[in-house]
Amino acid sequence: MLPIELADTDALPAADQALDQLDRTAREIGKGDCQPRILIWRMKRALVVTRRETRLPGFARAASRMASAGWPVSVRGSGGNTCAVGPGTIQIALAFPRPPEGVTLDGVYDALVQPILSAIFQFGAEAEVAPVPASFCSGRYDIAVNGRKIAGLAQQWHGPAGRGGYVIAAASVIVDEDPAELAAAVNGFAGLCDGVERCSANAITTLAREAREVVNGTDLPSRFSDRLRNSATAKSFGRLIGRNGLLELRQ
Amino acid sequence: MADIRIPDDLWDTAEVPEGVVANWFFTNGGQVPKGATVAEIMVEKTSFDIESPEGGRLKIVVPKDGIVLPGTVIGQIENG
Repeated sequence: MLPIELADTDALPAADQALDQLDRTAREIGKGDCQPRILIWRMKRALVVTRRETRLPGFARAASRMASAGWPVSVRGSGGNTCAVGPGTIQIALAFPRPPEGVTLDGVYDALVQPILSAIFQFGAEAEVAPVPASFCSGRYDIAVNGRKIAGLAQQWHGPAGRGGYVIAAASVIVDEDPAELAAAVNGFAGLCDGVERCSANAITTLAREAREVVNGTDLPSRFSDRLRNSATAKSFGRLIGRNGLLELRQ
Repeated sequence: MADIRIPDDLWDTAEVPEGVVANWFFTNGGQVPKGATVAEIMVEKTSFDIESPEGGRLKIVVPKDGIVLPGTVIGQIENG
């Protein structure tokens, strides 16, 4: 099966389409129908919310209003809170069968963090794992540059080990977006749906702002995803998916 | 009767002290099939789907937003 495959901005999938394909792929991996893999992709602008948030009072009306404002709402299986994404964010997900034992949440986070830190570092930005509470979808495994969030990670563990269960560990990296627009979208949604956390644009940054490497003439998200693909080697995840795991990378 | 129990090794409480019940996907007293995802537990930014060990009538023990630990019985399935 072909993982999410993207070509240019016009061909970017809607978030619903991309997340559905991620779920389908993970289910096949859980059943043993295909090998563990890494997926790297971009998608159209969206607010990506958790299943918990879909049950908040006013959710349906808020989602409808945000869609009309150009921010369609999609639901993901992983934890956290509302996250804003767009063509200038890069999504990376590691999907593998649910391990029987000995793999912890932090072990999975640590494995996914390393290639992201490495790719950011290659653009001359010093990133670290540090929570940025005022950002959107904040958590212990936020990736920050100069105290501002540039990426966030979340996981979904579905089903039992050895009987179709799978794990999706995913991250969204803000490469070239306007933090004020992202924050305004999240806060607009929060204003319409009681229980969604608000955020501050000042707590968010982008690789375009933080990169010291001069990037001319090439789409920065594409360049970042190329370096992320090079950093996310089988060695990075061997402890999670085994030496025979096949890693497929698509942008 | 079968317990719906959070696996003992689901997460390390030294790293994350507790989780919460983020969702019940069936109502209290509703019929659930064996193997159905009945609840979602949220630990940090990780969601865990909890499956029903048996088919039968769901009795919710820990409500939505309730605090849980590994090994917590969050519900029961009553047969018949």
